[in-house]
Amino acid sequence: MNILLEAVGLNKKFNGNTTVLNNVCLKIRRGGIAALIGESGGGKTTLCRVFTGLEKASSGKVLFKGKELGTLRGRSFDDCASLQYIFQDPYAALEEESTVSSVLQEPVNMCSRRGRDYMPPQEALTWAGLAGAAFLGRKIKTLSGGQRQRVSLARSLITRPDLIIADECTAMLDAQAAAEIGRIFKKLNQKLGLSFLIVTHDAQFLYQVVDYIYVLHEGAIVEAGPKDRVLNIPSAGYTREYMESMWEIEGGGLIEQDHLCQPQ
Amino acid sequence: MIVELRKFKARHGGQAAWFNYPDLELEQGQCVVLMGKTGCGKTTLLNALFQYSFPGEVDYEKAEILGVDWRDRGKNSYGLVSYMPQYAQSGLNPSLTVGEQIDLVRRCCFHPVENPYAYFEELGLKKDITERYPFEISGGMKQRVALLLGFIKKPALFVLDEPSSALDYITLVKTVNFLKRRKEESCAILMVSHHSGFAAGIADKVKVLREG
Repeated sequence: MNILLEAVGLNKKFNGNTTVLNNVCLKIRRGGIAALIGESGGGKTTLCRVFTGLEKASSGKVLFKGKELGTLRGRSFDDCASLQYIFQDPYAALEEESTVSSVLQEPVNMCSRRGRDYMPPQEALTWAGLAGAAFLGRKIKTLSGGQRQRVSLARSLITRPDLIIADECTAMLDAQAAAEIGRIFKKLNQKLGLSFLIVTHDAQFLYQVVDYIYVLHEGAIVEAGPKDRVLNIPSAGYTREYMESMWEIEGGGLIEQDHLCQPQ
Repeated sequence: MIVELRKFKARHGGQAAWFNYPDLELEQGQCVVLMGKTGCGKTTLLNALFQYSFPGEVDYEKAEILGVDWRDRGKNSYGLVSYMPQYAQSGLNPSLTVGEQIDLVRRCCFHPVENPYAYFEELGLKKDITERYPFEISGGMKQRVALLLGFIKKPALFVLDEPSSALDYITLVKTVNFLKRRKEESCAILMVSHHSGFAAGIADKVKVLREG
């Protein structure tokens, strides 16, 4: 198996005593789409930040394409360009006064300076489902949360990465738009061979987009396996509790027509 | 009636197109959820109604909040309306611990709840986070802290924009139950959500917005 990203015994403590990650071991294979699920505060975002070098692990290793990665400062441009991160909060991730064009031009310039092949902004926007030249001139502050998140996706595609880590990137999208993002991820995976690690609470993503699931609880991986096995025959008690809650919420998703008021 | 809108429309400054909204009535102890595609104007409606400096125009036949015309709502509504915007977690004060922020909000309210820490268990928050700063807790925890801060003033109307973002399913179940209890305590809730399962757990009425 061709392993792209590997966590080997990762531990992370905050303030020296609060354990956030506890001996985390996982492998993302090239061409795979893995999901990381678990309760809020379980360490999902911290793990992603360790992978991307934004946090330093207290102990353990991160291997990317077989090479050990340190924090962001110690990484080469190619390492950073090959491993992209879509942040949880698109309002904090993009500069309000910038235009879409300037947001996308920044990685283009960085790639040009270093002789790295890049994806033209128009093409990246098209992949992200925001086609149209007029969109390039829009200011970030005029975009909705979902549109901002798609711009973040387009930005991450510019450097032609091998792996995208997406931290709840559909949290602010309506069901249709989230499904569209799922289709885009699948397409990018199939057409460009792009791999993904997706932190998600979206059942639709778990069923239709990912192929492997890691369950993180209180900083430790409590279950890992192919999607169908984890979703249908969860072995850990925590995963069973998670799946029951998922169906309690998603089971209520069919709103009775009587309650549905159409706009006038 | 807590909120009543008739032929309400809004548009951002510098844009020609108006968002036309369906008529809306929200009574005490009820929850109305606004749903619709990204960019169809859900957040714009909340901003137009509750942001003091909405950068755009508003037009309507009737728009009353707590029985007062929208144009006269002024700061009197401060004590009665809580507004939790999208990504409210980013609005927490980074230089104060969670406990300090709770105490600060309590001091600013006319009739605050007696013991806001009693909400912790309902929301699945651990007491020890009161000692922590926002950067030391997860996005889902921050989201719930923002929710809790909004209820400290015991609002007659709570306006929530995408409160389910950043919440996992276990926490979503707790949040649905938390909001249902507040409804039982007569709080009216006007909420934007894209999550139909979450909305169905709380909503008395759902308004689906279409573009334009």
